[in-house]
Formats: sequence, C-alpha cells, structure tokens
Amino acid sequence: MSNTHEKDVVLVNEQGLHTRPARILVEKTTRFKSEIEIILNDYVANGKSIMGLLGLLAYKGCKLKIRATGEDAEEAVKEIATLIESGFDE
Amino acid sequence: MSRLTVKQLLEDGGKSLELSLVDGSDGLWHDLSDSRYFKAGLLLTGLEINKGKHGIVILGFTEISFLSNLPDNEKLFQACTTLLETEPACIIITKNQEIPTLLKKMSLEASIPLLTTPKKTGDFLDCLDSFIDEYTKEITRMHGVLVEVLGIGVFLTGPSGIGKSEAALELVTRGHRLVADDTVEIQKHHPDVLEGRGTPIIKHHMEIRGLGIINVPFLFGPASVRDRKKIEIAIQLEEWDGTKEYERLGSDEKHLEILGIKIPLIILPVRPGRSLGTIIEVAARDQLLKQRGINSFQMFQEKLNEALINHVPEAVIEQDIE
Repeated sequence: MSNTHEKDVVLVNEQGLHTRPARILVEKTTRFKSEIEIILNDYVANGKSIMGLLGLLAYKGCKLKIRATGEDAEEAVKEIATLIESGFDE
Repeated sequence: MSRLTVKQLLEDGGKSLELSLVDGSDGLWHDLSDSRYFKAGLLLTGLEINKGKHGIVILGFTEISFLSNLPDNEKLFQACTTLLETEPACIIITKNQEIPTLLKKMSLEASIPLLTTPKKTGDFLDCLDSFIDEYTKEITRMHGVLVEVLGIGVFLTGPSGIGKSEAALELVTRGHRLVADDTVEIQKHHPDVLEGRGTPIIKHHMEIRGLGIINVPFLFGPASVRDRKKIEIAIQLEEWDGTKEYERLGSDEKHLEILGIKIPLIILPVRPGRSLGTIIEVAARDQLLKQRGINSFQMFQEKLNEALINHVPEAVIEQDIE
C-alpha cells in the first residue's frame, strides 16, 4: 500500500539551493518517515540526502517537484512545499 | 534515449562526421534510433543480403566505382532500384565522390537524403559508430554510492542514513577507490555493460554525519578516486530486521535490474559490530572468484555431498584438512 503525494513548487532563493537551504531542507525531510524525492527535470534527488539535493544544482526560479511516499506523505509534501516557497527565510 | 534522425546526424555530427546534404531534404526526419548502417556492397549486384530496412547505407570507393563502371544505364537502374528497395533512411557517400546522376534522381524521387563526407570510409564508420552510441545511450540516475573494490565496481544502495558513505569511506581508507557518492549516473553500453559515474560538482565529495562534506581526493590522494567504472555487483544495505531471513548459504542468487541489465545483488543487514568495509571487500573477492568460474557455495556443497554419500570416516576428513 503506497501513499504517494506530489506537488510542484518554484524555488525563490536568490542564490538557488546552496548549502544553507539544503541543510534546512534535509533537517525537515528527515523528520518524516516517508521516502522523499525532490525532482528537477529528470534529475531525481533523495530528499533526505544533502549531497543529493546539492547535486540538483537548483537555481532561482526553477520548478521543483516534491514527491513523498509513505504514511506521512501528505503532511510531508505540505510542509516541505511551504518551506521551499518561503525561500528559507533568505 | 534520445531520438536520432538524419537531420541530427547532419547537424550534430559536426566536425566528427563532416556531412553535407546533396539532396533529399524531404527525408531528413527519417528515424535512425533503431537502425544500424551497412555498406551497400553486394546489394548493388542484386544480391539482397542486407535486408535491414531504414538503415544508413554507405557508398564507399568500391561501390561508387562499381556503379560508374556499369556498362549501361539499365544495369545502373537495376542496381539503384535494389538499393532503394531496402528503404534506406539515408545514403552517405564517402571521400566526396561524384554521385551517379541517375542515383541522385532516383533517391530524390524516393525522398531519401543523399549526404557526402570528405572522410575515408573506414575513418567515417569509426566516427559514425561512436556518434550513434553517444546519441542513443540510455542513462539513469540512482541514489547510492559507487566504489571500486579490487577492480570490481560495487554499487551500494539503501535508504539515506543507513551508512553507505561511511562504508565507502572505510573502503577508501583501505586503498579502494570512490567513483561517486550519493547520486550515480548510470549509462548502458551495448550489449550488457552498465557504467557508473558521479554527477558534476558533487562527485568525489562525501557527506559524513558528524564531519560534514569532505573532499576525498584531497584527503586521500588522487589515486583514491576514479571517474567512471563498470558496475559489477550491487549491495543493498538495510536495517537489520530480526523477523527477516537473510542469506545464510549463498545459494540464492538475487539480481538488481538497471536499464534492463541484471547485476548480482547482495542484501546486507546493518548491525553494530559488523564491519561493512570487510564484508563488502569479501563480497568483491567472491565476485572475482565467480567471474573466474569458482563458486564458493557450489564447491562446498559438492564436497559435503560427496562426504555424505561415501560416508567418509572422520579420520580421512581430518587428514584432508592437514
């Protein structure tokens, strides 16, 4: 029984997804039990891996897809989307 | 996989193929993704040995000489008809040779692009091969770590935080090499080879919990990393689950399928006190043995069965050990 939720968000950070926001993002994703993926075009990064997120080389204005699979998927997608859309308080 | 058309061959082939279009721009959309090329050769004499449709037909020095030396136009017409009946995606003439007018006219009518290159046939075919390979390659990215252990490409998978990077770091300190940490770009080479490499910027860096991001070649020297490596086994790390039955004998062969290619898979439960580096190194050694046709489990089983069937007395077994 897989419970998958997805949402597209736009990255608003001036400097893209650099180390600081990536760290904040990982702190958020690792709180959930669900498997979390952050997708840019065809590049699928493990949302709980800081190197994976940095490897996306996500730039300002790009569209990221958040995909979560697991028991708390819906909540995870909602919270992660809010965090990314808030620009990580930058 | 990207779609390859005659247009792309012409435009993206650039300096390596040096192609120019003579005629037949109507057929530039012809798809080359599944086709290979062949030299027209005996096909021109009416021998239909190359029936592959929509291929790239190469007319080299031999073919053009043959066509220009045909005694009459009727023979030339026949040769061209047989050639065009294979419905080539395009026809390429090497060494910028003069194209028989009749062939030009007939291929134009059939909307088959005619292309020329100044290259010699042999050189051109080499370039064409690598161009098609590069264009039609299949690529996927997977979460995991790729290390080279005793020459064997070992792909470590498993959930984030299970200890893949730590296991790889342990292997690097033992003199093995890191290919990619976290995200591995995997490319299929024909017919059944998987090659992995790191992604730009993050490759050769690792995140170790408690330490942060480290630069492996700076810490361990340039020999501690390599850029790409054939993937030969996959090791899946997972949380030790007391209720699950793990492989005890080595009799059961599991596989991981990537881009349609199956590679041996080992599922390794992680538990404090188990040195993952050692186990992974042994798995690589065992894989080396298997590649040389030696299967530890099978050999053990044969020895055991023989002893059981023949009721070998204990004394003899002890002697055997000595």
